[in-house]
Amino acid sequence: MKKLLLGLILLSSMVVNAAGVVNVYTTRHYDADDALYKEFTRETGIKVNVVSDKSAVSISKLKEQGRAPLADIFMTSDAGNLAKAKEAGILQSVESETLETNIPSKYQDDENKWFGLTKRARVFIYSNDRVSEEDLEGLTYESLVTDSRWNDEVLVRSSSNMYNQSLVASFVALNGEEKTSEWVEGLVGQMARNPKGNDRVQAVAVKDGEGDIAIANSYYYGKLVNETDKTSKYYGVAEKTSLYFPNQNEGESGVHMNISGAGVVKNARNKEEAVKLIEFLSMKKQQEAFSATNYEFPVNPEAKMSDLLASWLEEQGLETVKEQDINLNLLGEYNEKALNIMIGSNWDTPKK
Amino acid sequence: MKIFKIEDGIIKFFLLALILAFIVLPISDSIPLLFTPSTPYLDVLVEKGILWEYLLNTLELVFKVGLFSILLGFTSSYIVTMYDFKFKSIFKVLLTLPLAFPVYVGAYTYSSIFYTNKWLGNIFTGKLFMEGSVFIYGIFLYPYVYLACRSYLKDNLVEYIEASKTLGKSSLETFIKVIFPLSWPAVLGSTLFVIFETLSDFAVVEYYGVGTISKVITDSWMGLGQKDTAAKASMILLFVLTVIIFSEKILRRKKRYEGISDRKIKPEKPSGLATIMIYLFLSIVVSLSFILPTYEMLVFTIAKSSYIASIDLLGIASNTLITLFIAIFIIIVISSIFASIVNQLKRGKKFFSTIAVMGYSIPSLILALAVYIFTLSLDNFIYDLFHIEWLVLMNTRTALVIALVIKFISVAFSNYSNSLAKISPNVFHASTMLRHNFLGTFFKVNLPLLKKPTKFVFIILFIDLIKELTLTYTLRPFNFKTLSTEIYRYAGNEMIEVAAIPSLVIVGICSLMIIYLELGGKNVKNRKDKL
Amino acid sequence: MLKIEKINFKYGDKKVLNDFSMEVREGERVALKGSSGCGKSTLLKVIAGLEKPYSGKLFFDGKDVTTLSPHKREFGYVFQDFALFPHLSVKNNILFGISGYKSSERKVLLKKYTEMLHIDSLLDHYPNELSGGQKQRVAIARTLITSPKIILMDEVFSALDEGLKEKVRLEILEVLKELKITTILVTHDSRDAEVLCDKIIEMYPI
Repeated sequence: MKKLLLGLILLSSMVVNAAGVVNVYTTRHYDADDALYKEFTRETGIKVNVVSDKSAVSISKLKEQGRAPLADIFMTSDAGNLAKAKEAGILQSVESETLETNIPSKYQDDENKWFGLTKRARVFIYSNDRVSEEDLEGLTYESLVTDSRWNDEVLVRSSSNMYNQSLVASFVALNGEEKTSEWVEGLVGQMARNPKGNDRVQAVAVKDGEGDIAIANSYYYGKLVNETDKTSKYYGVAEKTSLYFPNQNEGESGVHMNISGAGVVKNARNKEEAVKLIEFLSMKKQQEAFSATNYEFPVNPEAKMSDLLASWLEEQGLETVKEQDINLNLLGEYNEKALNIMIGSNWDTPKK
Repeated sequence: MKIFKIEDGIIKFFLLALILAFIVLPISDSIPLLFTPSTPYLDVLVEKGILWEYLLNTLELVFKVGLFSILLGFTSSYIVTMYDFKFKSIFKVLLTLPLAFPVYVGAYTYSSIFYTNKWLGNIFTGKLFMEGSVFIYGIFLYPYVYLACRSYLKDNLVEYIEASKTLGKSSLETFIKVIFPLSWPAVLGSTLFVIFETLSDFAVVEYYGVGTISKVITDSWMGLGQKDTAAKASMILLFVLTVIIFSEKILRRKKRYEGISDRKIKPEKPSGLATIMIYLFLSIVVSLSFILPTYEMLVFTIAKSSYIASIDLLGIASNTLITLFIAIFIIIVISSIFASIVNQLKRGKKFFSTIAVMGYSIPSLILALAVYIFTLSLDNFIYDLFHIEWLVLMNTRTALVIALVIKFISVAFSNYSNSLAKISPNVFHASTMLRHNFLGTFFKVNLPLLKKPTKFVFIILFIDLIKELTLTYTLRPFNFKTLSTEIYRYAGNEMIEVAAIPSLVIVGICSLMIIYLELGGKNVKNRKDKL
Repeated sequence: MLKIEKINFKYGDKKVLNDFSMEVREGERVALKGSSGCGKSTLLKVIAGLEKPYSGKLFFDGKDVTTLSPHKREFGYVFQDFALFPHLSVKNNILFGISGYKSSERKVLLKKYTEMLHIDSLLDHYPNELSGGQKQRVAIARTLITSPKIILMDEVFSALDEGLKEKVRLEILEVLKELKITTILVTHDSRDAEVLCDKIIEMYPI
């Protein structure tokens, strides 16, 4: 009886992949992406199947699928996740002139196992009413945790989120473990409440007056700006808040710039199609689409950032955005250490 | 008949061994993981006392949820049994409907209710209610206690109450000295089930930001890919569970007070003041546990009705149903056979019953981890033997179905066992004496007799499985969506209004089924007899 | 026909049968009479194969059947509570044991035994609609139709009204005599034993 069942299940699990298909395992869940895939299919005739899941889950599933992965591309936000995927051994090297041309070496893996496709900065979102020009002067990641101005005013999401882990990991890469521990402990002391909700919810909390400043990814602010649903709690938040790129001055480390990107899965059935899709996404036109519809910074130097993003730089008087100078693979290497530091400092329960 | 000509003893032995292996084997594969060296992550948790803190939180959660459920469940069952008042039958049904709500749906729905009604949030999301998690578990799981106590009170206490009254004791004294103590075993047994469900959930505490052992398991397994750390944390949780079960047995002192006769309690009309209090209490409970959250979900669904097509509701629902039906089918087949075999045993009935119940009491995360590891090694085993590239069990529903079967088999098993036990054993002996071996008896006597309980079992299993999240989320294969996983996903992306759509499907279907059972006169949860 | 040799049986620690031996010849009607606790029902179950003794042997027509499965023994058993299948009609209850026979044969046998026991009018009824006496006849018919080599009866009259018993005893006696069937009857009632059996074995608790 069990055998019969086994047989039935196995039959239903057989995946017959016709040529002209690429299967994407992605943690990105934006409508903007779907539009791009449709465009890709229109141009090349290759069908794109998309499955969404949490990063760590996807990585371990692909690892277990081993010999016969059901996905050809693994796409995710955050270089830490890409590095972890590489470390788990589920990605393969890709030789592509197009990709080498379109994507600067800083935003791709040295062994060509993953390729960044968009950039997002982890910035501050502050209250228009309560934060003054003076408060913004000299505002950096470091001053956020040492300046008493921000005592009980900082809003940030929980330690289990990858973006925060990578932020902390970047500090480990730049400043070492000890200094980073101090930074984290300082941040915990400045928190307005126990972390809850996602990045946008932190901005909502700023608008509601629970804190004066929040840490969030830049593209989320773009989403807030474009929130049209009047019944949504995100409506009207962008009017009451503004975005700030920290560490942009001379001698400062630059803003934490993370990437989302993709790699071809090891033993992928549709390797060629997979490479084509990644190349497609790295082209100028698609890069500009990412910027326009999902408010992210393009990695392709030929592509121009959208007007909205340009306006952010303009408001702060920036010509370009100064980024941290680190090898993004380190975000993966130091991830566990970062998480341990965060947990060890009671990141999630500052207010007992 | 020819097909029944197989040696009886061999069949029984083989079937029993198969069934036991099915339940026990997955768990044994995880044991080696307990002895691996510690990881930095685990070290930090231990050194900074965080593991200890999470353990205390878990205990606190269990204790408070237990108390809260007893408060809500026992009081309402008392009211409904002892008193007669207008609209009582409506209240009786409404009090069982919270079971239609998966606890995680309750959590998400309430987070927006609390946001828009800050005063409500202030009451129920403070330290006392552990950020709201105690409230959620209690308000949606109290019906277990309600149902168990309701039937117990009605059937068993008439004479004791009368005796107390004739001895001159007031209602209050009767309650304190007679009713509550005698009901204690029923109360404890049903609260235990509330605790099982609480410990099996990971989504509610995750959402409300409460650090429990579940968080360690999910973070280490799903976040860091450290299965061994997850296994070790699971041990702690199992230890907690064992302590709880043990305490329950001690507190109950193995007593189960039976009624003296078949007389049922005659409910009486309450005084004016009591009537007001009754309506007040019941209205509050029913509003909070069903009316308010359902209303909120309806509002959301209507607001986001444009999403119904885009989230592929039909596809998700059919996938959910397919998995459901496969699992239910297997459960019914296995447990009917198992219950039939155990029914005929002269010795060891209790032992096998306990094994069957084990699956239900193991917190779902732990079971998921065990089955996951087992399926993994099974995959490697198959590959080493047959070298079939594409045959990967992890890509199928196999692991999920196995876990669902192990977890819920006790529901069917205990129902079938009880049904069979009600029949004189001589009926089965008669079949034997009339030239039928075990298989013959099974098909011609047991199965027909189990038809009626099967309807009931099917509905209970359906409700349990459609609500199930933990096993489904952790063990599902690639590109596998069910109503529960999609709710979790949308809520996780702060799209609670969209999550309301599949939530409404679950709550709607389950409500209808619960109402059907209630009106049919059956107890929705017949589980108290298991322990 | 049936030879019981030194059967020993224990319920837990309590010994119920101690080196019990007896013989039953073909066509004999034997009563096992005694008060409760003397082991008579247990012995009947051992003979049927529903219980296994921890020592001793059972021979039937010279063959050792001590460990033979009950459904292979071709003995009939009528239970004290009659144990009719609640989900089957009287007709299907009776036909249960001969379900493997040809349809024509079943018809013939059904007619024969229902007439013999005067229950032919009850065929479409269900057990819960029957009186104690009717259930008894159905139970007996159900057993006899399979042509058992021995019929084992366990206190089959105890559920009946006193006034009815004598009449029923005589009727059943007629049936057993007509079929010349070897019978072992367990009872605590002397009258049952006297009317129905040629040989009475008195049993006492250990």
